[in-house]
Amino acid sequence: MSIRRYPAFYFAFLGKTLKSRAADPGDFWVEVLSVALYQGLGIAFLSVVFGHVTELAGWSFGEVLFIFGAFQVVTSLFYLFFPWTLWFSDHYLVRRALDVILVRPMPPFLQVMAEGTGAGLSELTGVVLGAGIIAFASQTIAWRPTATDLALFIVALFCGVLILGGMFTSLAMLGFWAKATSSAATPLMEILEFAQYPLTVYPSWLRWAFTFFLPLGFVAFVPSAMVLGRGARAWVGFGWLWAVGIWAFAVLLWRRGLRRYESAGS
Amino acid sequence: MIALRQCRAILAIQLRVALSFRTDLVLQLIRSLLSIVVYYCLWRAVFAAHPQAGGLDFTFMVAYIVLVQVVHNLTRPPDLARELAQGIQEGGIVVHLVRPYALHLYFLAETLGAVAWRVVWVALPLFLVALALGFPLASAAQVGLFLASLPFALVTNLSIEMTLGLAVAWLRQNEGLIQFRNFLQSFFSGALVPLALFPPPLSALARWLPFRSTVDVPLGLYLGYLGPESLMIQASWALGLWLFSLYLLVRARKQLTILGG
Repeated sequence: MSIRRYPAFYFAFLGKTLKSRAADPGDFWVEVLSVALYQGLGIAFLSVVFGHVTELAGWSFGEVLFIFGAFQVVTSLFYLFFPWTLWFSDHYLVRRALDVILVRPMPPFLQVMAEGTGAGLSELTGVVLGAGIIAFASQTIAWRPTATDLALFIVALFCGVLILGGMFTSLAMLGFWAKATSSAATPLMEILEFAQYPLTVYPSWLRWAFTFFLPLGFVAFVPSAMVLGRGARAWVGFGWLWAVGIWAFAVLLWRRGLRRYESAGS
Repeated sequence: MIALRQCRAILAIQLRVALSFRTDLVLQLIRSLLSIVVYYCLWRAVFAAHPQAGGLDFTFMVAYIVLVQVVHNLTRPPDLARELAQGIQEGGIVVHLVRPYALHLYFLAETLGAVAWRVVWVALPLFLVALALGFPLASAAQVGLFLASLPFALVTNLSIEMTLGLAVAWLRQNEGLIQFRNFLQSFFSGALVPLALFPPPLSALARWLPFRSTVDVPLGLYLGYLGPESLMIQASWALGLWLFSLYLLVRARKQLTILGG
């Protein structure tokens, strides 16, 4: 099948998932509610803290809220496109759902992506609410972005999504070698929490680690700092290096993993 | 007496069940430690800018965030609300209902079985980390009151959990309720921010809700900002909510029809 058919294929899968999800709108609204409540909790925390201080490690309430909003947008997009990384090992490897994928005449990775996307559709709420938080924060700090700023910001946030996606994809691929990595994603999800606050809050060794070892700084902090005029644009370029590097690694793992995968015939 | 013996027997089984999830215990410890690190850094930044924010200081705050994790690990029941909901919807709960024990005691034993291992595997390591961070040791009386408040916190948590689970006998699903509870409890229990830092209307509201029994009261007793009388209020909430969930169970049993097969 030619590469031009891939998008159509992807949307066909998405449509299929949407239809099955539409059968139970109640679940959808409950998920929307939980996303909203979860973000509300973060805002409640920041509001109470800023009831007592005017700045947090050099960042005002508006700026911290801006970073928080960017974090929500990036993580929601990540959960929208890559939720399957959380159950890849269990569903595709342990329960052998990969067998079905491998006999279809489409690139397996595209199929896995397509099957997973609709599952987290309510994460779109997170994207919308996150954008709302960013808009509100921009008002608070009177941020007047130029068109270039906005474009760069979106490119940088997109890089954040790719970094997260690559990290969790690589982790999921490890399932080809070790059978139980689904639980390894849990601590990583907890570590993500670090990325929603300004990195200046953390001691220098942690800041260093989140830049050069586990690139969580590029998820929300670097994009925000850049467009708020408090960080160099070059850092975003460095973020893209990370994104490309992680995905090269993920692709390598995927190829080797597929070669290693032996289906249980029955 | 029979109830007690039954409870002990179920507990012995639950202890063995919980031990087979040893990885979960380690992951739980890692999660708690990560959470402590994030909040340690955040509050350090807060108190660096404002050493006396809300009349508290950084040493108090360090003790607070560690104790939140300790209390969580020692009083939080397993995911019973979802377990119960599934049991009611799919009929699996009948397995418990036909057996000769009280469902409440079963869930209490299940909770204790999960909590017992966390004492050694999670709470103790957390406590050692806390000592390294400069954790203030309380007086014997305060420690005694703190320990006395833990069972009430556990029963409060368990009763809320069972109430949410039993609600499925009347509702189509309880996921929305669970999420709403998580939100209210995280905020109004004092787990996220000490109630002392709340704006006055919110802290007044928090004092009238049962959620503070699960975090604020044990912590207040340990850190000395609450007196023994709050233990009485906490005990009343625990008893009241426990009786309410018992009443709901009786009502739910009448509501429920499960076909044999």
